[in-house]
Amino acid sequence: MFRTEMMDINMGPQHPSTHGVLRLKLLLDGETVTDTDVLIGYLHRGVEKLCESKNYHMIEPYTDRLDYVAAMYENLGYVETVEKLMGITVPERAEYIRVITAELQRIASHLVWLGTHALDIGAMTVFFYCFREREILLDLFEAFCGARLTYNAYRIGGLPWDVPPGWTDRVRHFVKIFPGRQQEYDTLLTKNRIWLGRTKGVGILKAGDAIDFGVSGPCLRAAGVSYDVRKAHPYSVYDRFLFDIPTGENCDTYDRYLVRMEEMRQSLRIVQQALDGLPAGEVMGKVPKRIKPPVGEVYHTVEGPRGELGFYIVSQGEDKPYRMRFRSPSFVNLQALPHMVKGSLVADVVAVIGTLDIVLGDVDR
Amino acid sequence: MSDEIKPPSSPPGGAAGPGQTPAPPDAAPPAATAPPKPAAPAKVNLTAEVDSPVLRALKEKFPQAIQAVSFYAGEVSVLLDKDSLLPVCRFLKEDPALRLDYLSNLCGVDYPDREKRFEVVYHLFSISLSHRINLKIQLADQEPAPSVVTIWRTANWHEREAFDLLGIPFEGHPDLRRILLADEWQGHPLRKEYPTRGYDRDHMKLR
Repeated sequence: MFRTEMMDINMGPQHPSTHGVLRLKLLLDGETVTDTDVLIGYLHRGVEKLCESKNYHMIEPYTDRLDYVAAMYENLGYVETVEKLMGITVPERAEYIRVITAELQRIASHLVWLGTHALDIGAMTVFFYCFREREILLDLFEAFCGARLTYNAYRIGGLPWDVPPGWTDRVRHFVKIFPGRQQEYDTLLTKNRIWLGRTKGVGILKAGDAIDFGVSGPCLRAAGVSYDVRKAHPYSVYDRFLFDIPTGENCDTYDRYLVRMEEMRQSLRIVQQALDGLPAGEVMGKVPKRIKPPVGEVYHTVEGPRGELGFYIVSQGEDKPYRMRFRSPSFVNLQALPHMVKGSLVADVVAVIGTLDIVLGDVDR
Repeated sequence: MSDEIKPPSSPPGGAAGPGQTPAPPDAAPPAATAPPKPAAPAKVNLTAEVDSPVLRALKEKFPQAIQAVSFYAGEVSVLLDKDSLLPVCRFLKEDPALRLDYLSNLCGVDYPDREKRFEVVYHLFSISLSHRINLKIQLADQEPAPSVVTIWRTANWHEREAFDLLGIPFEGHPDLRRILLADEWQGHPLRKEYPTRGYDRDHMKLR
């Protein structure tokens, strides 16, 4: 007798294309995915609990370890939330340097995404190209704050130090050479037949579903929704710069690729404007040594490379937060994965994980 | 939203001068006698009331559901009666003048000293109209919260996380199980009585 049955396939947590320790249980009908269970928590370190026993200065290094591919944003969001909680004003120069480093971080993060995403799909060359440019950026970060991955780069009220001599010239050099380098990735992928075949029409996430699932960042914008926290709620000094929000139309993996590629160009534009307008002066505002916010609570969001990065702090007037909550974009975006892969092939699951651009440190916290 | 707490009048590069005296937050009179000095930032009233169209609509439509309203740094938080949470949420999402279609964040907070120890906070945002509101409900231990998964699907994992880490049950949730911790885990770590280092962790003591 011939019969068919559904098959359970376990993917991860030790799987190179899951970008960390993500585990999926796929229910397959032949090669078609009919249902997915996403199992997370393998990297859960209880950072929210830890923060309740640390004072406000000691928390910033912990935020580095959440989204370690874009740690500048975790720092930025955290310090801005505490500043909002206390009503602290940050000096102009510090704000500009924050914007420059944060936008460079967005490019670095997108480069990791592009390299690994292409590698998952089978285009190995792009990976080496992307990491070549990321190396320049990490060198810049190292010169700025001494670290290449977990920066702890900002302080509540400003920056711990000004940029080193000659640093802005190095950034200007990067701004000059990067468009040419990006052209190279473009040549490798944008009209590549295999790339188009693997990404066009794959992992469709329509605007209504994306909003319902709470998806933010490039995945939402590729669905045609022009929502970017930098425009919707300008924080820091983002309201002073000209930049566009790229959006897609087809809601698929290819459009998300195009959106992120364009975002890198826009980030470069912001860096250029911030360099030109960089004011002189102090980089540290007037902040009490002991950070003791009044009783209150704030929810503050910044636009990270993966989407809306939210911080919720409840203060009871002590030098430690009473409750600290990280609204991480990876965690929320990952929730849309079962919806996106339903009815597609197993090989496309790899493409969809790549296009969601998750960082498991950010998912599991 | 940040423009409400940052004094907009600070001139560019104004805080730059190295010779300016550091102004302690309570030194208002000296700052008033020396007006040309731009350094001393105006003390920001963090708890100032702000006008919110969402709050106005809520007050009009559900006057009996609102238990308290608080303001902080330009944010509006509304404490709601637990039973009216679902109708309020559905109204906020579907009303064409409010359209709070994006549940940005959902989390629980533990206040063990209170009679109703848990607070569930909903941070709502409208993508098309760009306004926010925070909703809150209070719950006793083991008292179930109404699940908002049917209104915003994103609440699914957030509610599972609140259940996992705080032990708040959500009524009407389609798939309420632990999400970050292992299924056999005992206790809920974000509760205040749970030690930071966990139970039965003597072998992990540093000294």
